[in-house]
Amino acid sequence: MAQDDKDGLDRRGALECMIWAGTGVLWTMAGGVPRSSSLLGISAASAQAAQGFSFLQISDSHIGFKQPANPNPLATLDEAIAKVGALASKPAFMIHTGDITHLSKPEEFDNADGAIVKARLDTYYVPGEHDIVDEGRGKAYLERYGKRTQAKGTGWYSFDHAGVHFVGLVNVADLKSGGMGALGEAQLAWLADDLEAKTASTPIVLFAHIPLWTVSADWGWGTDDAARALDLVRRFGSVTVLNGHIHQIMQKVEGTVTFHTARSTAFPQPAPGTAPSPGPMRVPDDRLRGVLGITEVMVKPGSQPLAITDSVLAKA
Amino acid sequence: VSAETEPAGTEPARLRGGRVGVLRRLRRRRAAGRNPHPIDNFTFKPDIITVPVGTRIVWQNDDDIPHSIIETQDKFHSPALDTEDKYAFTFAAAGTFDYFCGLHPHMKGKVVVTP
Repeated sequence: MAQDDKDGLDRRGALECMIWAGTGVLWTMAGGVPRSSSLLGISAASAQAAQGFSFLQISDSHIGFKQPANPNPLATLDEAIAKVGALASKPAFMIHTGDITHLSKPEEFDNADGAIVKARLDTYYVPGEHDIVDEGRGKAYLERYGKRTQAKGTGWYSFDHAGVHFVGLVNVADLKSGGMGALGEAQLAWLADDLEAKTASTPIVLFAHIPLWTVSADWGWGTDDAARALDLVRRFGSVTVLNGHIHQIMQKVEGTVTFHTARSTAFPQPAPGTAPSPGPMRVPDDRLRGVLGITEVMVKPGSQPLAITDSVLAKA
Repeated sequence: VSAETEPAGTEPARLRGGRVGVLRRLRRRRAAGRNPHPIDNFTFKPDIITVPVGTRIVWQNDDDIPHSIIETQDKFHSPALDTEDKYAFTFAAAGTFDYFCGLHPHMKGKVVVTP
């Protein structure tokens, strides 16, 4: 499945062509209104963004899972990483949207790291609920992945790449009885602060494990206080929200915000309402690699939606 | 006289001799006889368990995904239970104990411990 920004030869398409024509005027779309700014005035980072770049998303590798839905998730993670290595254009970096491991065991983290390092890409993580069930309730995850990103709290952080602002959020910690995912007050306050200095034309990418929109309340596939985070990004012209957790592709566009969930590299889960519970879904062995995969995100200049392309490990 | 009529905090078995103690042990054994209580299809089964004080409850995860048992006041909490893992807790005091799964908090259960 692929989502691309193919509008044909309409006004928007014509504007896009103008961006690439090198006329000295950078056109962007904000809330449907084209605006221009002098190329002379933009920063080196924005100039780099004008070239475009791509990054990779992988998710839910569940290293340590041993059940029939996939007795060897390390093998399928290896295949996913091999697929990353075979891409025609090298991605700038990779994000992993959580559930790296199945039970937060040191050897599970070690095995995941050993496979992922073969991609030779900087990799940015957020934890899934399976990554913080160690004795220290997330201490092992933070010690391993939190230092490089100078993560705050239970592991949230942000970074900039080529004019795009990336924010890794944690919505799996300190969950409340009867609820879904949660960001919590401390993280929301930090997010407000983090975004404050950013101009509305800065493309924003939020990534977190559990979807930041309610895919299924009955199955807990959503984040209770996601609306408060989304309010904070409402003023930006381009917002992309990338999640995992549900082991299948779901997409939604709401105004300037594009939501997308990635496939797992380990095992599929049923579509909401199609099974008694959201547990691992067993498919015939020869079809497994047709429901696992990776996600490539192309960042193009301007503030049109990012182009998100999902690909499976192998065609079934 | 049955154990149910005793106010909380007394120890009828010790105070009144063997007969009540035997009844209580039988009731505990009957309650424990339902052990282990399955966690199945992302549900605690049954979601409400009523037992006399002193009963040891055992939960077993029958799902292909881990679950945990977290009491809402953190009076007890299990580690993550992988498939077929068990967790036991002995309820030494009467009261109502609400719990949920720390990984999937929409999963809720309750243990009612009678004096």
